[in-house]
Amino acid sequence: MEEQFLVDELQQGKESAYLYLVETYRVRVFNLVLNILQDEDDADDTAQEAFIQLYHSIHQFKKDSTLGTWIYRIAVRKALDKLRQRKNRQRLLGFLPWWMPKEDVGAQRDFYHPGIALENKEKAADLFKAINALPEKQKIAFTLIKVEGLSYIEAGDIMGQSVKAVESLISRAKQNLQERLQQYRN
Amino acid sequence: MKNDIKISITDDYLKSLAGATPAETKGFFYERLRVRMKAAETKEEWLFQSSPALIVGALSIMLVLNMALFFRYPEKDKSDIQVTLKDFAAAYDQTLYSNY
Repeated sequence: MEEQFLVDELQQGKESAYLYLVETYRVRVFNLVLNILQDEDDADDTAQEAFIQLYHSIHQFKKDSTLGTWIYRIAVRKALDKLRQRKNRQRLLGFLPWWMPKEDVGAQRDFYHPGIALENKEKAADLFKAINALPEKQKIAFTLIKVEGLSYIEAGDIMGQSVKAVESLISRAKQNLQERLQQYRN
Repeated sequence: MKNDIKISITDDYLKSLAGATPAETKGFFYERLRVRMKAAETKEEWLFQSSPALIVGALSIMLVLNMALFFRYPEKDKSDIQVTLKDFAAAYDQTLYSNY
Protein backbone atom coordinates (compact mmCIF):
# COMPACT_ATOMS: atom_id res chain seq x y z
CA MET A 1 0.00 0.00 0.00
CA GLU A 2 1.36 3.41 -0.91
CA GLU A 3 2.21 5.58 2.09
CA GLN A 4 0.18 8.61 1.02
CA PHE A 5 -2.88 6.42 0.44
CA LEU A 6 -2.36 4.70 3.80
CA VAL A 7 -2.13 8.03 5.62
CA ASP A 8 -5.31 9.26 3.91
CA GLU A 9 -7.14 6.09 4.86
CA LEU A 10 -5.89 6.35 8.44
CA GLN A 11 -7.00 9.96 8.70
CA GLN A 12 -10.44 8.89 7.51
CA GLY A 13 -10.52 6.41 10.39
CA LYS A 14 -10.58 3.24 8.29
CA GLU A 15 -9.98 0.21 10.47
CA SER A 16 -8.48 -1.87 7.64
CA ALA A 17 -5.78 0.78 7.20
CA TYR A 18 -5.04 0.74 10.92
CA LEU A 19 -4.80 -3.05 10.90
CA TYR A 20 -2.41 -2.87 7.94
CA LEU A 21 -0.29 -0.26 9.70
CA VAL A 22 -0.09 -2.27 12.93
CA GLU A 23 0.77 -5.48 11.09
CA THR A 24 3.43 -3.70 9.00
CA TYR A 25 5.20 -1.90 11.85
CA ARG A 26 4.38 -4.15 14.84
CA VAL A 27 7.61 -6.14 14.85
CA ARG A 28 9.84 -3.16 14.08
CA VAL A 29 8.29 -1.02 16.82
CA PHE A 30 8.39 -3.90 19.30
CA ASN A 31 12.07 -4.59 18.60
CA LEU A 32 13.01 -0.95 18.89
CA VAL A 33 11.35 -0.54 22.30
CA LEU A 34 12.62 -3.96 23.37
CA ASN A 35 16.20 -2.87 22.68
CA ILE A 36 15.67 0.32 24.66
CA LEU A 37 13.71 -1.09 27.58
CA GLN A 38 15.34 -4.54 27.65
CA ASP A 39 12.21 -6.19 29.00
CA GLU A 40 9.71 -8.11 26.87
CA ASP A 41 6.60 -7.32 28.90
CA ASP A 42 7.39 -3.61 29.08
CA ALA A 43 8.23 -3.59 25.37
CA ASP A 44 4.91 -5.21 24.44
CA ASP A 45 3.02 -2.76 26.62
CA THR A 46 4.94 0.24 25.26
CA ALA A 47 4.55 -0.85 21.63
CA GLN A 48 0.79 -0.98 22.20
CA GLU A 49 0.82 2.46 23.82
CA ALA A 50 2.73 3.78 20.80
CA PHE A 51 0.10 2.42 18.39
CA ILE A 52 -2.72 3.87 20.51
CA GLN A 53 -1.00 7.26 20.50
CA LEU A 54 -0.54 6.94 16.76
CA TYR A 55 -4.23 6.21 16.27
CA HIS A 56 -5.23 9.32 18.23
CA SER A 57 -2.69 11.66 16.66
CA ILE A 58 -2.74 10.57 13.01
CA HIS A 59 -4.35 13.90 12.10
CA GLN A 60 -1.24 15.67 13.37
CA PHE A 61 0.99 13.80 10.94
CA LYS A 62 2.43 16.58 8.75
CA LYS A 63 4.11 14.48 6.06
CA ASP A 64 7.41 16.33 6.55
CA SER A 65 8.92 12.97 7.44
CA THR A 66 8.05 9.42 6.44
CA LEU A 67 5.35 7.54 8.30
CA GLY A 68 7.98 5.08 9.51
CA THR A 69 10.11 7.85 11.04
CA TRP A 70 7.07 9.34 12.70
CA ILE A 71 6.06 5.98 14.20
CA TYR A 72 9.62 5.43 15.44
CA ARG A 73 9.57 8.89 17.00
CA ILE A 74 6.40 8.08 18.93
CA ALA A 75 7.80 4.70 19.98
CA VAL A 76 11.06 6.25 21.24
CA ARG A 77 9.11 8.87 23.19
CA LYS A 78 6.93 6.19 24.77
CA ALA A 79 9.98 4.10 25.64
CA LEU A 80 11.64 7.10 27.27
CA ASP A 81 8.45 7.74 29.27
CA LYS A 82 8.59 4.15 30.47
CA LEU A 83 12.25 4.48 31.46
CA ARG A 84 11.45 7.64 33.44
CA GLN A 85 8.52 5.90 35.13
CA ARG A 86 10.87 3.12 36.17
CA LYS A 87 13.40 5.61 37.56
CA ASN A 88 10.71 7.49 39.50
CA ARG A 89 9.36 4.28 40.91
CA GLN A 90 12.84 3.21 41.95
CA ARG A 91 13.36 6.59 43.62
CA LEU A 92 10.04 6.31 45.49
CA LEU A 93 10.92 2.81 46.66
CA GLY A 94 13.96 4.31 48.34
CA PHE A 95 11.63 6.13 50.76
CA LEU A 96 9.88 2.96 51.91
CA PRO A 97 10.78 1.79 55.41
CA TRP A 98 13.07 -1.22 55.63
CA TRP A 99 10.33 -3.61 56.74
CA MET A 100 8.12 -3.04 53.71
CA PRO A 101 8.52 -5.36 50.72
CA LYS A 102 10.32 -3.76 47.82
CA GLU A 103 9.78 -4.79 44.23
CA ASP A 104 12.76 -5.33 42.01
CA VAL A 105 11.80 -2.47 39.71
CA GLY A 106 14.46 -1.03 37.45
CA ALA A 107 17.18 -3.12 38.95
CA GLN A 108 19.91 -4.09 36.52
CA ARG A 109 19.10 -7.55 35.22
CA ASP A 110 20.80 -9.32 32.36
CA PHE A 111 18.77 -9.03 29.20
CA TYR A 112 18.88 -11.96 26.84
CA HIS A 113 17.48 -10.87 23.50
CA PRO A 114 15.22 -13.67 22.21
CA GLY A 115 16.42 -13.33 18.61
CA ILE A 116 20.14 -13.74 19.27
CA ALA A 117 21.95 -17.00 18.57
CA LEU A 118 22.74 -19.08 21.63
CA GLU A 119 26.54 -18.83 21.26
CA ASN A 120 26.32 -15.01 21.25
CA LYS A 121 23.82 -14.63 24.09
CA GLU A 122 26.32 -13.91 26.90
CA LYS A 123 28.28 -11.41 24.87
CA ALA A 124 25.11 -9.67 23.69
CA ALA A 125 23.83 -9.57 27.29
CA ASP A 126 27.04 -7.78 28.34
CA LEU A 127 26.65 -5.34 25.47
CA PHE A 128 23.03 -4.59 26.40
CA LYS A 129 24.03 -4.14 30.02
CA ALA A 130 26.67 -1.61 28.97
CA ILE A 131 24.21 0.18 26.67
CA ASN A 132 21.70 0.37 29.50
CA ALA A 133 24.22 2.24 31.63
CA LEU A 134 24.67 4.97 29.01
CA PRO A 135 23.08 8.42 29.42
CA GLU A 136 19.59 8.59 27.86
CA LYS A 137 20.43 10.33 24.56
CA GLN A 138 23.55 8.29 23.94
CA LYS A 139 21.57 5.15 24.61
CA ILE A 140 18.86 6.08 22.10
CA ALA A 141 21.34 7.16 19.42
CA PHE A 142 23.45 4.04 19.81
CA THR A 143 20.41 1.75 19.80
CA LEU A 144 18.94 3.37 16.69
CA ILE A 145 22.16 3.34 14.69
CA LYS A 146 24.24 0.43 15.89
CA VAL A 147 21.55 -1.99 17.03
CA GLU A 148 18.61 -1.11 14.76
CA GLY A 149 20.85 -0.25 11.82
CA LEU A 150 19.26 3.10 10.95
CA SER A 151 21.22 5.85 9.24
CA TYR A 152 22.47 8.96 11.03
CA ILE A 153 19.92 11.05 9.12
CA GLU A 154 17.02 8.80 10.15
CA ALA A 155 18.20 8.73 13.77
CA GLY A 156 18.53 12.52 13.73
CA ASP A 157 14.98 12.84 12.39
CA ILE A 158 13.62 10.52 15.05
CA MET A 159 15.51 12.19 17.89
CA GLY A 160 14.97 15.73 16.62
CA GLN A 161 18.75 16.30 16.48
CA SER A 162 21.15 17.31 13.75
CA VAL A 163 23.38 14.69 12.15
CA LYS A 164 26.40 16.34 13.80
CA ALA A 165 24.77 16.05 17.21
CA VAL A 166 23.98 12.38 16.60
CA GLU A 167 27.57 11.72 15.51
CA SER A 168 28.79 13.34 18.68
CA LEU A 169 26.41 11.22 20.77
CA ILE A 170 27.61 8.05 19.06
CA SER A 171 31.24 8.98 19.58
CA ARG A 172 30.70 9.57 23.30
CA ALA A 173 28.59 6.43 23.59
CA LYS A 174 31.40 4.39 22.04
CA GLN A 175 33.94 5.80 24.46
CA ASN A 176 31.72 4.98 27.43
CA LEU A 177 30.95 1.52 26.10
CA GLN A 178 34.61 0.74 25.50
CA GLU A 179 35.47 1.52 29.12
CA ARG A 180 32.61 -0.52 30.45
CA LEU A 181 33.11 -3.48 28.15
CA GLN A 182 36.79 -3.51 29.01
CA GLN A 183 35.79 -3.87 32.66
CA TYR A 184 33.46 -6.77 31.84
CA ARG A 185 36.20 -8.49 29.88
CA ASN A 186 38.76 -8.21 32.72
CA MET B 1 46.94 2.49 19.43
CA LYS B 2 45.26 2.00 22.78
CA ASN B 3 42.09 3.58 21.35
CA ASP B 4 42.17 1.20 18.37
CA ILE B 5 42.23 -1.77 20.72
CA LYS B 6 39.30 -0.31 22.65
CA ILE B 7 37.28 0.25 19.46
CA SER B 8 37.85 -3.32 18.46
CA ILE B 9 36.38 -4.46 21.78
CA THR B 10 33.12 -2.57 21.12
CA ASP B 11 33.00 -3.83 17.56
CA ASP B 12 33.68 -7.32 18.79
CA TYR B 13 30.68 -7.12 21.13
CA LEU B 14 28.57 -5.60 18.36
CA LYS B 15 29.31 -8.64 16.21
CA SER B 16 27.31 -10.71 18.68
CA LEU B 17 24.18 -8.95 17.36
CA ALA B 18 24.92 -9.89 13.76
CA GLY B 19 22.39 -12.29 12.31
CA ALA B 20 19.96 -11.72 15.15
CA THR B 21 16.37 -12.41 14.15
CA PRO B 22 13.72 -9.87 15.16
CA ALA B 23 11.86 -10.78 18.33
CA GLU B 24 8.14 -11.48 17.94
CA THR B 25 5.45 -9.77 19.93
CA LYS B 26 3.16 -11.79 22.17
CA GLY B 27 0.25 -13.41 20.39
CA PHE B 28 -2.88 -11.57 19.24
CA PHE B 29 -1.16 -8.19 19.32
CA TYR B 30 -3.78 -6.42 17.22
CA GLU B 31 -6.71 -8.00 19.07
CA ARG B 32 -5.24 -7.04 22.43
CA LEU B 33 -4.62 -3.54 21.13
CA ARG B 34 -8.25 -3.14 20.00
CA VAL B 35 -9.55 -4.44 23.34
CA ARG B 36 -7.32 -1.97 25.15
CA MET B 37 -8.51 0.91 23.00
CA LYS B 38 -12.12 -0.09 23.47
CA ALA B 39 -11.66 -0.34 27.24
CA ALA B 40 -10.07 3.12 27.33
CA GLU B 41 -12.97 4.58 25.34
CA THR B 42 -15.57 2.92 27.59
CA LYS B 43 -13.76 4.15 30.68
CA GLU B 44 -13.65 7.69 29.32
CA GLU B 45 -17.37 7.57 28.50
CA TRP B 46 -18.21 6.16 31.93
CA LEU B 47 -16.16 8.83 33.69
CA PHE B 48 -17.75 11.58 31.64
CA GLN B 49 -21.27 10.35 32.33
CA SER B 50 -20.90 9.60 36.00
CA SER B 51 -18.60 12.28 37.24
CA PRO B 52 -21.23 15.09 37.42
CA ALA B 53 -23.52 12.72 39.32
CA LEU B 54 -20.70 11.78 41.67
CA ILE B 55 -19.76 15.39 42.27
CA VAL B 56 -23.35 16.48 42.94
CA GLY B 57 -23.90 13.48 45.22
CA ALA B 58 -20.72 14.10 47.20
CA LEU B 59 -21.51 17.80 47.58
CA SER B 60 -25.06 17.02 48.76
CA ILE B 61 -23.80 14.63 51.41
CA MET B 62 -21.28 17.22 52.62
CA LEU B 63 -23.98 19.89 52.75
CA VAL B 64 -26.35 17.69 54.75
CA LEU B 65 -23.57 16.74 57.20
CA ASN B 66 -22.56 20.38 57.62
CA MET B 67 -26.12 21.44 58.30
CA ALA B 68 -26.64 18.61 60.76
CA LEU B 69 -23.47 19.55 62.65
CA PHE B 70 -24.32 23.25 62.61
CA PHE B 71 -27.81 22.81 64.05
CA ARG B 72 -26.98 20.09 66.53
CA TYR B 73 -23.69 20.95 68.25
CA PRO B 74 -23.17 24.69 68.94
CA GLU B 75 -25.34 24.99 72.09
CA LYS B 76 -24.29 21.65 73.46
CA ASP B 77 -20.63 22.58 73.11
CA LYS B 78 -21.05 25.82 75.09
CA SER B 79 -22.82 24.08 77.97
CA ASP B 80 -20.17 21.38 77.95
CA ILE B 81 -17.44 23.97 78.42
CA GLN B 82 -19.28 25.69 81.28
CA VAL B 83 -19.81 22.43 83.08
CA THR B 84 -16.20 21.54 82.62
CA LEU B 85 -14.98 24.87 84.06
CA LYS B 86 -17.27 24.60 87.06
CA ASP B 87 -16.11 21.06 87.69
CA PHE B 88 -12.50 22.13 87.44
CA ALA B 89 -13.00 24.98 89.94
CA ALA B 90 -14.81 22.71 92.36
CA ALA B 91 -12.22 19.98 92.09
CA TYR B 92 -9.36 22.30 93.02
CA ASP B 93 -11.38 24.30 95.54
CA GLN B 94 -11.13 27.46 93.46
CA THR B 95 -13.62 30.27 93.84
CA LEU B 96 -14.20 33.51 92.12
CA TYR B 97 -13.84 35.66 95.28
CA SER B 98 -10.75 36.52 97.27
CA ASN B 99 -10.05 37.02 101.02
CA TYR B 100 -7.80 39.95 100.32
